[in-house]
Order: sequence, then C-alpha cells, then structure tokens
Amino acid sequence: MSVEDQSSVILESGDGFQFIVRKSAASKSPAIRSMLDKKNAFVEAVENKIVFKNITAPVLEKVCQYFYYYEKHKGQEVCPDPDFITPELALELLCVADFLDC
Amino acid sequence: MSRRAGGSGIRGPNSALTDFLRERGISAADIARRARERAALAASEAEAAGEGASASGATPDPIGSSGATPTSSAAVTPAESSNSTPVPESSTAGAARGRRSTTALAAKKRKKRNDDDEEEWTMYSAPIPNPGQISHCAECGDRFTVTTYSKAGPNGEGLLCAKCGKKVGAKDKDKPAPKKRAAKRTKRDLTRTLLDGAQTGAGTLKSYCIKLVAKFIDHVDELGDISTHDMDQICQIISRNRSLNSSTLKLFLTPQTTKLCLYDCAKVTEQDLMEIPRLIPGLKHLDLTHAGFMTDSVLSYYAEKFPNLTSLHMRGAFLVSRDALISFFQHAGSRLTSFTLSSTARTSEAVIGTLVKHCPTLEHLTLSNLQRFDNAHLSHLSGLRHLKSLDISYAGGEITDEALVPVLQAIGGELRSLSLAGNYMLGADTANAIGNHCPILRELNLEQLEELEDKDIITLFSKWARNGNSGLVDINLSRVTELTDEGLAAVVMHSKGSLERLGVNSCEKLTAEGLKKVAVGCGKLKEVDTGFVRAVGDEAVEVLAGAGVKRLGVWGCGRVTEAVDTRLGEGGKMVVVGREGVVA
Repeated sequence: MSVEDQSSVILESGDGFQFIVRKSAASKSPAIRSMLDKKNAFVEAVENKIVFKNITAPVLEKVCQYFYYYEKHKGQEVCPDPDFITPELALELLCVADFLDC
Repeated sequence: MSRRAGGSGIRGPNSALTDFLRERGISAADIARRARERAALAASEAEAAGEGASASGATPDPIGSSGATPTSSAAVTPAESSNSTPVPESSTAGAARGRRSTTALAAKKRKKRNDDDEEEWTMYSAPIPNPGQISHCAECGDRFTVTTYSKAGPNGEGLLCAKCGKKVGAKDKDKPAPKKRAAKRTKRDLTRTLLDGAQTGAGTLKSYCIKLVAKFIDHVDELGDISTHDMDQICQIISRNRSLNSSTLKLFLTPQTTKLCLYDCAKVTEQDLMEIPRLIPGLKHLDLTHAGFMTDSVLSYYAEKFPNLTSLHMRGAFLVSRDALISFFQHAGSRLTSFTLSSTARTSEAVIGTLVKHCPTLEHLTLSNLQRFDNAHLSHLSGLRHLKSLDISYAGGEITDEALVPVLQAIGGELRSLSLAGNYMLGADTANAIGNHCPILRELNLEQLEELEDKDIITLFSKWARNGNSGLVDINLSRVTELTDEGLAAVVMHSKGSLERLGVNSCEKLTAEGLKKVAVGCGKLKEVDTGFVRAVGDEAVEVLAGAGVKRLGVWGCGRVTEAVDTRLGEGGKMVVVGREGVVA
C-alpha cells in the first residue's frame, strides 16, 4: 500500500505495523525530513514510506503521538507535559528519539 | 429591607456570611415569621387545652431528639426567637467575622445546631452526625459509630455503617477510575523552569524521555545503549533529585565511559567510590561534587588504579587529609592536566607546593572556597607555566595584590580564563597586572572586588587595547560597586566584537544609557545580568532584547514592568529572569 496523498507518509515498524502520519508533523525529526527530501532521491522519498527495522510498533506509535503533540503545542509558551510516554517504554523511546534526533 | 427585597438585582456590599446564607435560601425574616406562627399556634393549643399560657416545658420537643436543651415552644416570643435563632444573631456578628471562610462557618453552624437550635435547622437539611456520634445505618438500620470514613447513604441521605459502606466501596472499585487530568502547569512550575534556564513550551521527545527515566531511576536495571550525553543528563537530574546512591550509581559505571561526572555524591559511600576504578579502569575524567565520603584510602586507590586519569575534580571532599593529597600528587600528578579542589580546609603550603612540583603539565586549576588558602599558598602557583585557566575564587585567607601580581607576571602569558571572585582585598595593582601580563585572556571574573575603581577598569581595558588582547568573551564585574558608565564603555570599546556574557549585578552607578551603549556596541552579546542596577527600566530591557540578548537577569530592577516588550530583534523572545511578580 502506498499513500497517494503526498501530504502523508507511512512509517512502518520492524514488526510490520504501519502508521500514516502527516508529513508536516513527521518533519519534526530531521532524520525523517532528510529521508523524505526529494532532492536526495532515497527510496523512502519515492515510495513515501519509511521502514524502521529496529523500532517496534509500540515505540513507533509513541513517536507518532509525539509528532502530533509537538505540532499541536509548537510555539506555545505554556503546554502540558505529554501524558502518553509510559515509564516502561521510556528508555527504548530515548534511544529512538536519539536516532531520529527529535 | 428594601435592599433584600430588591427585585432590581442591585445589592450593596455585604459580608461573606450574608452571601452564604442567601445562597442557602435562609432569610432572617422567614425564620422570625415561622417562629411567630408557631408561638401563636402553641398559644391557641394551650388555650384549647384549658390551661394557662405558663405551661412552659410541658410541651414536648417537636423533634424529640435534642435532649440537651428542650425548647420551650410556649416561651418563644417573636422578640426572643430572633435572639435564639442562630441566623440573625450570627448575621450581626458576621460583620465582624466576615473574613472567616464559609466552611468554617458551616462547621460552626453544625455545632450550634447540635447544641440548641436543632428544630430550626432540621427544616433545611437532615443533620449529618459528627464522627464519634452514634447513628443508624441508612441501608440496614443498625446502630453504628460514625467515623470520618463513613460513606453517605444511597440518594445522599444519612450514613452507612462499616459493613454496608464496604459493599458500596467494592462496587465503586469495579467502575473504572476517573481519568487523571493532565497535570496543570502552575505559575510556580513555570518560574522554576525559567530559573533553571530551561526552554518553555514543547520540548523534544528526548528531553521528556530523559525526565521520565530519571523519575523512575529506581526501577531501571540497566540504562543500555544510550549516548554518554544522555547519560550525563540523567545523572544531572537524579543528582538534583538527590537520588544518586549506591544502586543508581551502578547504572552509570559502564566500562567504555571515559568521563564521569557525579553531581551529588552525598549518598555515594566510600565503597561505591572504590568501585569506580574496578568497573571503569580506563577513566580519564572524574568529577565528584559533595564528595563527603571521599577518604584518604579512596584517593590513594585512585592514584594506583586509574592509569589514564588526567582530570580529577573534587568538591567538598573534606575528609581527605593533607598527607593523602601530597602522596596523590607524587604518584599521579604527572598525568594530571586538570585539577579541582574546592570546599575543604585541609590544605597547606606543602600541599600546594607538591601540586606545583609534581603536576608540571597542569592546564586547568581550580582552588576555590579553600578556607586556608592565602598569599603564602598563592605564591607557589608561579611555577605552573602551562596554566590556561586559574580559579582562586573565595579564598578563606588573605589574598592581596602583593602576592598575586608576581604570580600573574609569571603565568599570565598563557591564561585564557581567570577567576578572582570574592577576594575582596585585590585592587588597582591586580587590574594593572592583568592588563600587562595576560594578553590572551578570554574570560575574566572579578566579582565582589569592591576595591576596584572605575579608573582601574579603564586602565585595564585600555592596556589590553594596546597590547593586542583580541577581546573578552565573558566578563563578570558583579559587585564592583564603583563601576560607572565610563568603565563599561571601556569594556565595550575593547571587547565589542567578542563579548557574549556580561555580569554587572549590583553596579549601582550604572545608568540605563550606559547599558544601551553596551547593547548597541556588542553584537554577539547573549547573556547579561543587570540585577540590582536600579536604573534599568523597560526601555533599557527593550534595547537589549533588540540587540539579540537571549537571557537577561533583572532581579531587583523595580522599574522593569510587565509591559516590557521582550521580542528579540531576529524573532523569538528574550528570557527575562526576576521581574517582580511576572513569570515569563
């Protein structure tokens, strides 16, 4: 499946779950942004789909949630801390956040 | 009366009590009217029974439960009733006690109700028994003693005994717990964030994860494959939470680490400190703050077991003796390029002498807050020819120009950073020597050198302008109280191209004009502390923001108001710390 709509991108986890995310939100991560950059002509940019072999679905879901959280609260001076990050996933998520640089 | 009856909705000022009573629909007039009616009724009944109106006490209590003072219905005349009912009485008293909270009032009324005016109150609501009283269960009807934990009965009437209460509680538990509302960020939280110098607004996913990991650090078995930078961030947060202890310390002792900073070792024991070289034999940089458990044996063990240690920093290691320090320098001194000893009284000339003799390659040296550090100690430092940064702030002994000038003469040529903060006896000669002998200095801290005069600062910077110092990045002139606009102008004249951080806290002779010139002159300025410079007002702040200053301290600047416009020239907002009553 590929997304016809160019405003979204599919993020696929290592265990095969797909998340369709708005590009504007996913671009929070410089890593994803450069993967989707047409100038770089990566497969990811052509297929509009990124597969993260090392990221599991629960973690990738949190990442997607964060993208939307950030898009919603960007530029606000006061915003609530995100409530979707659970302590069990925090360490794994930290590694992923480090990789995605977000 | 006209006020109360007013259908116009216009009311004059009234007390909290009056408000409370109106809210409950209680009116003194109604109560008085009902009392009159009852009295009339009782009188007619008494007449019908053929007895005199003096049969007081014979009439049974209408409620029949308040044993303490049975109300004599026959004796209640309109005038008396207005005295005995709680409402009118308290409403006159209420003016005096208007400030009391309504809950306190409610509690008080409840008490009163139990005392004497039960009948009046039962008209409005069923009495709620106080803890300790005996009541009947609303469900099963059994007698039980009321506690604070007694649950309200079905439909909110009466209370339940412990047995029935448990059943209801079990039912409640089956229901899903109400979803927790996202913690609201209070003004206080925001202030705290601001004082930490943290960014407001949405943070990075990484920062949130780090915060969460730090919060649940006790449940973490292994930090795993995270970057050294993230590990250090976690360590900083848990040190601040004071949760760095024997068990959490283990998480940071990974064999590949080369740099370890423990920001709060107050709970890190001697054994834990001994553990570090066993787990990380290749450590190069070790930084221990609040190292109260550091002992002689630990230090000698370090000298032996850290073959690659080039940088050791110990703050608050007050148990380490002079002899241990001396033998450490003798064994490991030749490797050291960076050393800090701070907040201890156990130093001597011999210690400093050995340090200088055995650490010839030392580049960064901090000897701050040493109770016994004085001129005699200081003069030894002339031997450290490669020193790039020197910090001898807040020495406990006497530090004067006579001792410092020769040292600067000897080692000033290589110095990039110099901190003399808190050595208040230093004056003009020191400023001269800095100007003459430190041509490549980039950071200078002269905080609390109150002997320094304006002309000394001018001389210093004009000297530098002549001998080719390329400009300071960081200068702290806080509490150099004689500093005026002219002195500051000399600083700007010399360092306008490089200055990034400026501290002029408590330089009360500065004016807003002088600071505006700084803002206009120094293009790279990022951080300024103008605390307690009373002349600083909104205009000066706005000029600084326009010049691109990212962070400004304005503690005690009473003229800075909420209205100040802190938008930065190139977009974004300046962080203004310390405005009275303003958060961000």
